[in-house]
Amino acid sequence: MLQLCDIHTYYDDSHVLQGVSLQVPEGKVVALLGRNGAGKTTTMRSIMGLTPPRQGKILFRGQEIQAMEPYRIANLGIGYIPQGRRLFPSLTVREHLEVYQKKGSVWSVQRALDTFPRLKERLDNHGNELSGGEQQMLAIARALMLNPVMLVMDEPTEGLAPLVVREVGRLIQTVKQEGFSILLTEQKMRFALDLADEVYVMSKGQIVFHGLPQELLENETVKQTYLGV
Amino acid sequence: MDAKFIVLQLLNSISYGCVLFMIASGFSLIFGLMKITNMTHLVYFMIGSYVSYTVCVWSGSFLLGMIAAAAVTSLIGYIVFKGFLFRLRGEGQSQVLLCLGFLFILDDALLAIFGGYPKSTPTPEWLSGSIKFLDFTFPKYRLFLIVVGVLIAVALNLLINKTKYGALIRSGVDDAETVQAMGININHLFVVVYVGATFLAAIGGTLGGPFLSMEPKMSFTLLPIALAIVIIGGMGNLNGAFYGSLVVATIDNFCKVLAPSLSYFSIFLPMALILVFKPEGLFTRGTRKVKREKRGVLKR
Repeated sequence: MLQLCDIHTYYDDSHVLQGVSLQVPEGKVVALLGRNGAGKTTTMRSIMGLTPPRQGKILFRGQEIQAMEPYRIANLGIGYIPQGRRLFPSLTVREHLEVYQKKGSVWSVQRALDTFPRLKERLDNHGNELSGGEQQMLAIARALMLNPVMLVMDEPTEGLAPLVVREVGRLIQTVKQEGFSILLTEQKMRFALDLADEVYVMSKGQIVFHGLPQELLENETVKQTYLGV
Repeated sequence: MDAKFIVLQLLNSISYGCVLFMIASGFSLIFGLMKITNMTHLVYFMIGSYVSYTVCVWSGSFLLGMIAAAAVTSLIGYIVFKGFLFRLRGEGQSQVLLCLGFLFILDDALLAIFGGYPKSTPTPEWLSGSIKFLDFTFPKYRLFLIVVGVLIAVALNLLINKTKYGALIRSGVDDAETVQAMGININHLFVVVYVGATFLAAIGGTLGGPFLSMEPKMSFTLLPIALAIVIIGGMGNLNGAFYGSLVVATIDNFCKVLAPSLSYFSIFLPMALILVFKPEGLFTRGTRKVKREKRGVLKR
């Protein structure tokens, strides 16, 4: 579904991603773990074209997307759930869904609300008037309105209380059962391993581990060196 | 200073504020959406008023003048944006310098074409003269300005706050990057808003024509006023631009009558205080909401 081939991304002169390669197979959940500053968000931003890589290729369903503008990438079928949710404070929940619904999307406002019933009671609240869990629901729903085949989720549990984290876990399970391929970054290893089919670990802009969740659990060196657990 | 004086000056302030709003609304939206301090905006207003003056004197029709002003100015705005500003996307400093450059060039062009003598568009016949009400006499044209100004403000408010396209613009003001990552080509939005704002400035210039005496370099007199409005009202905030225009027009108007030597000081002191104590503007609702949200999170 999605393939990153040796991408190098810079912020001005600083070389943040130093040759990242990874793959998200169709229908699978892939988790990208790593500490703060490892380059997880930059990887996501590179995929979405927000900080395009200077070298390397990104293939989405066989098509090169590394030089495309963000809106084109999104329209190819990648739903982006940014770090910190980035909802719009000036828009109501209803507007978030209506404005970002793509023509011909199988996701209607009604279907989004049926999937996330809690948003029904919040339709006229603004983006910044929601609880953490509701914000995450809305961020996912907003991405779904574009009718994507893949979701790119950047730290969906960041800053959420433990109970809400579990709720978000269930949300992602729901979405996974709909058949989406998902790339997910996380700092919470346990949370990610429960959801993921495959795991990558990142450090200092490079991939340092790739394997199954069980393999990571058994690999004490990687856990201690790169994840601090 | 009697009651009559105050009422008349207030009405004057409101009509002046309505003209200022047509500049400040677009100026503020452009800044909010594209983070461009579009100083060229003031000269669009002047182009609008000179074109409408010319066409109005030549044809005798105020309406025709307005249409011509809107068309010519929008076209110039489109060329400046598509041909120049747009190519410098993301380069804030270069954009500011470019805007300043166009302000000088276009303003000098006006001087070259129209000369330096102050001009006023003839007031349309049906709007000339005054209305007597109780003890007051008030020029019809100024009442007309208030009516039209408020109508435009209401229409713009509905457009931005009640339509889907308006919601898209608001989300762009909040976070343009995320808008793009959600599949929207924000460049279209930029062009529409830029040209729309130029159009509005030209309408403002037309309406202001019979009541301001226009002269080249007026762009430079209006520039700091527009900046003050946008800072007082909050960048990118349409309602803020409306109230800000009224506040600035009232302060400016009263000070020019009562203490002319303090007239600049009287606008810039409040502006400086707001920059220090409430930099997001007086009419931005953001902060209160953030506090409410924080309380909400704590409760949970």
